[in-house]
This record gives sequence, structure tokens and C-alpha cells, in this order.
Amino acid sequence: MPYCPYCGVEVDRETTKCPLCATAIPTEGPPPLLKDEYPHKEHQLYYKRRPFTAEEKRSVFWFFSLLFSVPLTIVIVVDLLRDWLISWSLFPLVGIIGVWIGIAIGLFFRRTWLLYVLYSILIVLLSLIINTLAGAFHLFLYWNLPIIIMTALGITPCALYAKYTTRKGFNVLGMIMWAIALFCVGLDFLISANTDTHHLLQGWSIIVAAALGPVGALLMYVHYRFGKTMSFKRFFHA
Amino acid sequence: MHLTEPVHIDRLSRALERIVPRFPYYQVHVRKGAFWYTLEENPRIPLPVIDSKSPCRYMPIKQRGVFPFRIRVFGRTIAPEFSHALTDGTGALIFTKSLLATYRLIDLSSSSPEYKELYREYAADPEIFLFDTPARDEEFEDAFLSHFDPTIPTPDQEKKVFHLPGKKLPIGTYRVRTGDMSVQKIIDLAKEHNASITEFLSGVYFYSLQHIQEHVFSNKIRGRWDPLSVMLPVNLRGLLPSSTMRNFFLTLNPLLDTRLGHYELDEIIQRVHHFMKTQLDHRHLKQQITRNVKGVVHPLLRISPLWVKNIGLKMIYRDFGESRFSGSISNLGRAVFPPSLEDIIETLEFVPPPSSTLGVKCGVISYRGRLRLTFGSLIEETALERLVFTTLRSYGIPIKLTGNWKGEE
Repeated sequence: MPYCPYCGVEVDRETTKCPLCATAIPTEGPPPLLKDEYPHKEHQLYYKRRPFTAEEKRSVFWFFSLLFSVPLTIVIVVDLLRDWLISWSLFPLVGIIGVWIGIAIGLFFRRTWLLYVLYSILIVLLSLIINTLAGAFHLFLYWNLPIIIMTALGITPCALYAKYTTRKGFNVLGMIMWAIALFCVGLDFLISANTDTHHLLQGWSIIVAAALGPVGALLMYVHYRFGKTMSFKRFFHA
Repeated sequence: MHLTEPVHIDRLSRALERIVPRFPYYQVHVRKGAFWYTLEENPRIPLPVIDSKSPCRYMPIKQRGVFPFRIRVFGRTIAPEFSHALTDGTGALIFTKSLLATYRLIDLSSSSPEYKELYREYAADPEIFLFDTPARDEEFEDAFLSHFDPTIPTPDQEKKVFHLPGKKLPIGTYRVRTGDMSVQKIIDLAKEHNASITEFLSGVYFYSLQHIQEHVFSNKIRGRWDPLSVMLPVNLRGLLPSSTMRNFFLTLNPLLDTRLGHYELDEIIQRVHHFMKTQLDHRHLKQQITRNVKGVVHPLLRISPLWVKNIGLKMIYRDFGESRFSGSISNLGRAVFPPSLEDIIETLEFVPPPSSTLGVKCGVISYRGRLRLTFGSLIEETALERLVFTTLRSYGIPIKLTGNWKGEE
């Protein structure tokens, strides 16, 4: 019978991953010699909420579909009764459909990167449609799209850093501070470029960056200087 | 529970899937209501989880879908952990025995002679509930409510007692230290002192606590010392008629007034023995039941919202909960398994639940002639464990120590 090399339990012949610790099961062999070295950390699997089953997902999807159909119908009927035209109701219509699609994406997709991509596309599309309906495509091109791209550029490194750094703490907060500072500089540049000022930057973002940059650096310093020698959990343990 | 062979994890999962529906009162999750937390049916089946260095740690039982118990596994070890909201040691032991019986039977063909023989063996054990038998009504009983008598006066309020001082271990860690010794030798020693095993071990526990208190309070006037009190959980099923599988235990708390002077071990054991003789009586225990249930049935308390209750209960627990005790020693007694299960179980251990108030707690269980005394500790200091084991050692009892904490001894 095959055994898990990490937690030492026996598994079925067809099992490829240990149900306890997800370690790959090697081909048959004798039980591993464990030194009673139990894992130090609690197994997180137990604490995770069980994902919805396909049937539950469908039920939630239909519940929200029904829920959103009510305001959707009201808005369209009111608009039609008033002007015999579908005009302003298109805006709440796009908003409600956008939220509905957002919920459906969250329900039916599990992979983080896929969710990130799909939500980004959804936001860009919503922004594009609303601006086009309002007859202001240039607003989308010069304002919305660059702001969405800048936000994505700020969130992506923070999320990747938070995911892959081995010790999470003040360093993540420091990274967020830096990302906000850079976002503000980008926004300032965008405002200057889209308005007829002759300056590269209006200046306020420099003040924000001057405040957040050193705070971020201080947090990074505290994390990497004291993080290894001092247990914050223990220090703040009541 | 340490088996003789590595645990077959897939078989254990299948066994859980079969046996958990037999215990519908455990197949539940905690739901929050306007006035109370309630236990509601949980249609899921729990999965075994990997055991960790520190057992009995945080269980997120208020989360939807999370069972108030878990089966932890590592190598040859199966470690069921139960929240006291669900049941007590007796219920947990019956579930464990039933799970293990199912683990043995699950992969056998029901028509094979081995299956039939094992099935007969397990069916004969009243502490094994087989997966194909229905749950009886009396197993669901809220026995506290059944034995509640509102006319009985509640017991007097206990005094403030001594608590073990000590620096807390980092969050998430629980030090477990087990002493393995011969049951017969302990029985002989207890008999010499005209006491039961629990009384004898409680005496040793008190004696060690007294030693620590004398050291800690060496500069304090003896007249101002707080007394010592040890919590001794009692299974009420033997005293009051009930077959409930839910919580049905209370505690006795013998007191040692150290303000009056130093006590020798023999004296302490005798005091505990006589205390148990007088207090282990259904009338005294019903007094405690009345105190505990009165709050639950009071109409004003019943209609107060949950968040008010949460605040109030925290305050009540702070003053009337474990703070009334200096220590705890819980004896599950002799665990008996059918021969076919004894063949696969090497050792049995009872790890007491952690308590931030008491710091150290002790659990006792005996199995196949060996008694295992397990200390669970949340504090760095090991004085209590060391003193208990050295006192026992001074009586000539060989003790083999094991645990999850290496290097400090």
C-alpha cells in the first residue's frame, strides 16, 4: 500500500495526493520513518469555507437574477411610461447588469488570476458602455481607461508581493503605501496632461508621495530589521 | 490514540462518512440566532485533518458549516477533538470507539465471516454504536434540563483562589507532557492511602500546587494567602439516570485552605477522599444543575438579545467559570475496547482542553494496564508537571515521559 511521505498515513492505491497534506504520493514502498515531527502550524484546510456545490451555485445565481430583475423592470417601465422611450434607464440597466455579471463571475470561477482578469475586463467594458451611452467616448479614452490601468498597475505588484513574500506583516502595508504614492503621482500627471496646464505635475502628488514614501520605507525597515528577532504576535499578545 | 499501524486515511474518511450520520447530535454546526446560539443539522461530512504539534487549539465553531469536533490524523495517531459545547469525555469516547469499529468494518464484505465475527463483537459492546443502528431518543436528551429542580437552592459562591503564575507560551502553542506509568502501582498506592485513583492523584496535584504557592507567596503573610481549589469533573450519567450523548458532567472542587498551615500529602489525600464521599451525592450535584440551568430558563434572560447575553456571559464566566479553580484533573477512567480493537490500538492519551485562566490542566486515562497522566499547558513554567511527576517517582513509580516539547527537561 502507498504511504504519504510527509504525514505517514496509508492511502488507497489510486490516490495521487495525500488527502491530509496534499503531498504527492510516491509509488508503493514501506511506511516512512517519521520522527514524530508534527506540523507546527494548524492545517488551514479545515478553516476554509466549503465551496458551493454546482447546484448551490445555480440556486444563488437564479436568486440574484430574480432579485435584479425587479429593479430592472421597474426602471424600464417607469422610463417607458414617462417618455415612451428607453433613455435614462439605460444607465441603471447597465449598472445592474454589470453587478449581476460580477456576481456570476465570482460564483462560477475559482482561480484568482482568472477572476482578476475577468473583473478588469468587466470594469473596462462597463466604463466604456456608460461613457459611450453618454456620448462621451473621449472621457473613457483620456480619463477612465488610464485610471483603470493605473489602479491595476498599483494592485498587481501589491497582490503578488503579499502572496509570495514568506513573512507577511508591516512589509505589505509598506508596499501598499508606496503603491498609493505612485498612483497619486500618475493621477497628478494625468490631470496635468488632460488639462491645459504647462506643468508635468501639479505638485500635490509630490506632497502625498513625500508623506507616504518614508512611512512605507519605515514600515519596510521595521519589518526586515526587527521581524526576525521579535515576534509581534507575542509582543502584542494580551 | 496511537495505533500499531499507520492510519489508512481514505478508509478513515469512509468510516467517518458512515458513522457521523449515526450521531445526528454531533452532525451539527453552530448557528447564531437573535437570542441564542443553536446547534443545527449540518448536512456535510467532516474530513480528517492533519494533526499539528500543538493539539486542542482554536476551532472556528461559529463559522457556518464547521463541525464542533474534528478528527486529526498524523502517522499512526488518530486524535478526535471535541468542543465541550457538543459533548463531554464520555460522549467523545463512545464516538471514538464507534468510529474505530467502523474503520475496521468498512472495507470488509458484509457477507465475509470476518465481518460477521467483528460485527457481533462490536454489537455486544454497549459503548459502540454501530453505523446501521438508529439513534435513540434518549441520546438527544438535554439531561441538565431533565434534572433541573427550581425549588433547590443554588450553592454558595466559591472563594477567590490561587492561580498558577507564569509567562504565557506564544499564541497557538500548547505544551503537552505525558507520563506513562503502571495502573496497578497507582492502584496499590491509592489503596495504601485508602483512596481511589482520582483522589490519590488529586492529592498529589494539590500537594504540588501547595509547594508552588509556598514558593510564590514566601514573602506574603500566610493569613492573606488564597486557598487552593482543584476542579474534578464528574460524569453524571453514573449518578443521575440518563443516556444522553450530549454534555452531562459537573465539577467537584475540593478546597485546601493553605492559610491555616502546611499540609502533608497523606493529610491532603484524606481530605480529598472525605470531600468526595460527602459531595459526590445527587443532592449536591443537583444544586449545581439548578444554578447552571436557572439562568437559561429565566424569562428575562431568555428574551434578552444574544449580544447582551454574550457580554453578560463573559462577565459571569470571568467570575464564576474556571477562575474558581487553581487547577484541574480530569480522569476518564479505564478505557475498554473489544479485543479486535485492542489489537490495533497501542496507546491511548487524554489531552485536557487548554485554559488560559488555569494555565495547566491534567487529563488521566488508563488503558491495558497503563495509566497516562497528561498535562496540557499554556505557560512556560513546568514546575507543576515536574513536581507531580517527581512526587509520584518518590513513591517508586517508574514514569516514561513523552510530549510535544523537547529540550526543556
